[in-house]
Amino acid sequence: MVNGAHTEVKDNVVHRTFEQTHKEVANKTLSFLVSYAQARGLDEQQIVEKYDKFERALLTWIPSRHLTSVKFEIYDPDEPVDGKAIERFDLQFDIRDPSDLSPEERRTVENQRFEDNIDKVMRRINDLRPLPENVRYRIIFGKCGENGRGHEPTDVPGFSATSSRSIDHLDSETFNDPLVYTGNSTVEGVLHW
Amino acid sequence: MTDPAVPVEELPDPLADDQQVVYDTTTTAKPFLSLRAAIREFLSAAVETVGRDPEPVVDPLAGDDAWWMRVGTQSYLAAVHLAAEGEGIVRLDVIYDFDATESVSLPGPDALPAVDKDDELTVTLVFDESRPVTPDVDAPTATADGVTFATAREQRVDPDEQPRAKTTPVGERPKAGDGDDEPNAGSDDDSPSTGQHVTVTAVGPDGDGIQVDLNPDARIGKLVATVIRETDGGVSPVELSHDERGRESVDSDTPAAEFDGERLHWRPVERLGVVSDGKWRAHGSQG
Repeated sequence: MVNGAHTEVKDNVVHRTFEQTHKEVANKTLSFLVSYAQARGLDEQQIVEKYDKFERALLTWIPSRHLTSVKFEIYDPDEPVDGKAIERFDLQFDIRDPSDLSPEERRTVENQRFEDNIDKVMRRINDLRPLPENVRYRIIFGKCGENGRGHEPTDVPGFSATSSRSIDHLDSETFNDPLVYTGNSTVEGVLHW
Repeated sequence: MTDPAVPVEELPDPLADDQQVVYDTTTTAKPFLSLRAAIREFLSAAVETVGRDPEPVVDPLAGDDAWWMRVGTQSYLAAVHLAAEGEGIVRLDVIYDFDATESVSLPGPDALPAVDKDDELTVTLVFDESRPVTPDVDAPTATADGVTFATAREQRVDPDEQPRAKTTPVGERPKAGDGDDEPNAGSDDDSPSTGQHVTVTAVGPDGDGIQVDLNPDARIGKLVATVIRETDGGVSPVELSHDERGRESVDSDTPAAEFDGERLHWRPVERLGVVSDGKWRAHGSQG
């Protein structure tokens, strides 16, 4: 049937485009992490070495809509694990089910009108006061127990459960423009400093 | 980090420019590896076209995923520039935009200078100094004689709307004098080097002319490259003649200054076929 074939082709195109949004969000997230480390004078080698693992996690938990946050936590290694963070940047993910998108959001996906404001955020980060010496950092992935369809997240090797250090003593700054926007995914940035 | 306090010097104008490779974050994981593959492929073709072994040029760019990750994810690598003995051959710009169009086409061997086996090839990695974060990366290390890797910095502007930004090489350059801060340094010693441009009109088979401004130091191959690009001629070789009947053929390896104010006639040369090494050969030229 002509109509059925046409619909199938269109669905394939949309499906491929959703895959592109996932890659876009994953690549831009990793790019941000590397930039943030460099901007704060930290050795990004730690991210370089774990790039594959981080990428695998992002490309698993973004399409499955389990990813809720990626936190860049900077801390004093002499502080206890449940101590205070020195600084933290949170990337907060809102990944929508395709069936929940408005017509405008769907057009954004289909027409690839993706945005990113990472450069704008990095220029703000460049203005922060220098960090104390000998600090360390870690990347914490946050994910929900089940997605909107009731499915639990798939395990990705190399991750273990942890909790974030306290940021109650820090100021917080939420950026107006999303770090990344693809129509079905929005990544907001919150700086705790 | 490379030292910014170095003499200002422009990279030599390439014979083949407007070459673009796209860094696309939507189609693949690790797009920096795709970027590496595209640049190596292009450089390999360019070096082979001028008659040199591409391996010493592309092999040092093969490994070190972390280097490519740093320059790619930060949109720091703006372009790759290839020169031989101080003369620009090609420049490949990197476009960090998922909906940009890739444009890579290499002029035929007639449009590029003949490079001797002893001529120094310089690959310059051009870094975008306007980025908010600039990675701490150096040029790759050459693994063979006759090939030098260098770095340069530029303030990048929108490639779709603005002319190319001025480039400031900061890496070691072969044959550049100490403290030499003059434009066009590194060009042929016996060239006029007046700093003025000459205008050559290339008249096609239909009588239509293309005016091309050339630095006197540039070789006439620059004109050939422009004709090929502007006449939608693809990579077809072009033959130049000084006389309207085509009796006096012109060597594309000749300095442009010799043709100051002249009209040169061009015609596409029929392709004779593809030879076993995959390169086109026509009109007696050797790729």
